[in-house]
Amino acid sequence: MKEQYTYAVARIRAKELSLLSGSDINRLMSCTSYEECLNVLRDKGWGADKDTFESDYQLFLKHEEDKIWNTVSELIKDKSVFNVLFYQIDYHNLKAAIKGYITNSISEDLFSLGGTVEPSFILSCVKNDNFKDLPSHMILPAQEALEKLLHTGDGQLCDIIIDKALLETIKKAGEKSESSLIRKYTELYIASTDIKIAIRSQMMNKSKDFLKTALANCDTLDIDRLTIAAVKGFNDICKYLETTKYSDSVPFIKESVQSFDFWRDNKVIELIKDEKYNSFSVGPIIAYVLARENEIKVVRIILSGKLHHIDDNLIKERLRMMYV
Amino acid sequence: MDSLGIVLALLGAALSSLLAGIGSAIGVGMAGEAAAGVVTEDPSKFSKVLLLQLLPGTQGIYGLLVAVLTLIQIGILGGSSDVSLGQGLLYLVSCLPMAFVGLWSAIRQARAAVSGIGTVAKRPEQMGKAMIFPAMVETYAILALLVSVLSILNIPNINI
Repeated sequence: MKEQYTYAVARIRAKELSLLSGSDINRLMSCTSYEECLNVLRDKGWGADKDTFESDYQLFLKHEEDKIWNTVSELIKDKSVFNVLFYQIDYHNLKAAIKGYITNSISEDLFSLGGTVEPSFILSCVKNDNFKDLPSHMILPAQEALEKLLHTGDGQLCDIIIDKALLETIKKAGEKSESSLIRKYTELYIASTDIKIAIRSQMMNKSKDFLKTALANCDTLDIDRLTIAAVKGFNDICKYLETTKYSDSVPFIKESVQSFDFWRDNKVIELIKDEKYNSFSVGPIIAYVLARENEIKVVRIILSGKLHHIDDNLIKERLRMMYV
Repeated sequence: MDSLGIVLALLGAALSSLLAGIGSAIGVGMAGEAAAGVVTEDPSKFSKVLLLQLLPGTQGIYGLLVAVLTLIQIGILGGSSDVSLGQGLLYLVSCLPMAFVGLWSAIRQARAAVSGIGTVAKRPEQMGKAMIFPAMVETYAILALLVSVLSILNIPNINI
């Protein structure tokens, strides 16, 4: 019988009450100081516990990220449904391990926890030049990225090899997934990453060959047309995108790459909103995880802005849409 | 061959209690999972989610009622158990509405109850509305119960 996640979804429904809403964000924005923001968040149950006062917001938010995965661990035995999210962490750690090893600058801060492979294991594989114990989808890109970095010293080449492998792995995981939300999220993730690569490559006048190496195939974009457009110029990228389902991203792209990130985050929230009315699949749990990650991102922008006394209007411009 | 009538009638009673009972067991279990999820986060909602959890349980009771009524009519619970083949077949057919509608409506009602539990988790003040949606499914279980009960009660009047 197909897993229905009845218990997990009901628990998530109750947990959704504690998600930050638009009015909570307005309340945070109206705080006059960074400390006041932290107090408001603490009242909402954020942070380690009531007795521990954390003035470092990165640590404060780290506790919230840990809480997400602790909740998911309690709800789901087989966490492979989240592989699409975990692979992003694994490949980031692979990149950090290879670059850190080659440049002798390994630091724990470079790695993120929560992937499918322990960062220390990835690092030991890189140090011993022995990748065979890594997950099969990571072996070839890891070998290739390390060799290229050793022979050419080109960090960007190392990045694009690993990033493309990530996109291809995510695509395969998405195609295999039974969750329609995962499939849609995967497609959006790959397409938006391709668009971002095309824009950045165009800005740096990268060649057609570079683009072909960097861009991953996806169902909603014609990669050949995107490559040609990126080689021709910025306006050609916009013209091509206007003919695709991502036409609403064009005004944001014209503004800046940061605005495009803003568009992408809002698209993810739009995508998961339907899961509020779904009671019988893993979708609402995935939606909760993405919503929590989004609110942590929004709170990070606010806390960072308040800490550095950035103008409220500038902070507001960067705030994302909320799930509730 | 003489006893085939009572076998068929008994089969109807068994199907009625069996299928409706299975439906209710699945339904109450499913709604119970959702109720437990909500209570884990907010124990104060126990009484509200309990009511929703119990809704798919009624089909099992209806199935039992039809089965007991059949057993009384065919004399298994006392009296004469002289049931002809035709009557036995009629009892079997009379039990089927409750058996099948009971099974299916309990499961569908449970799905509506689970969604209602989700509503109560987020908006406890909407408890009444959350109850109405799964309660609508009950209508069809009651209709099936009526058809089964009326048929069973009137079979002895049929000369077959």
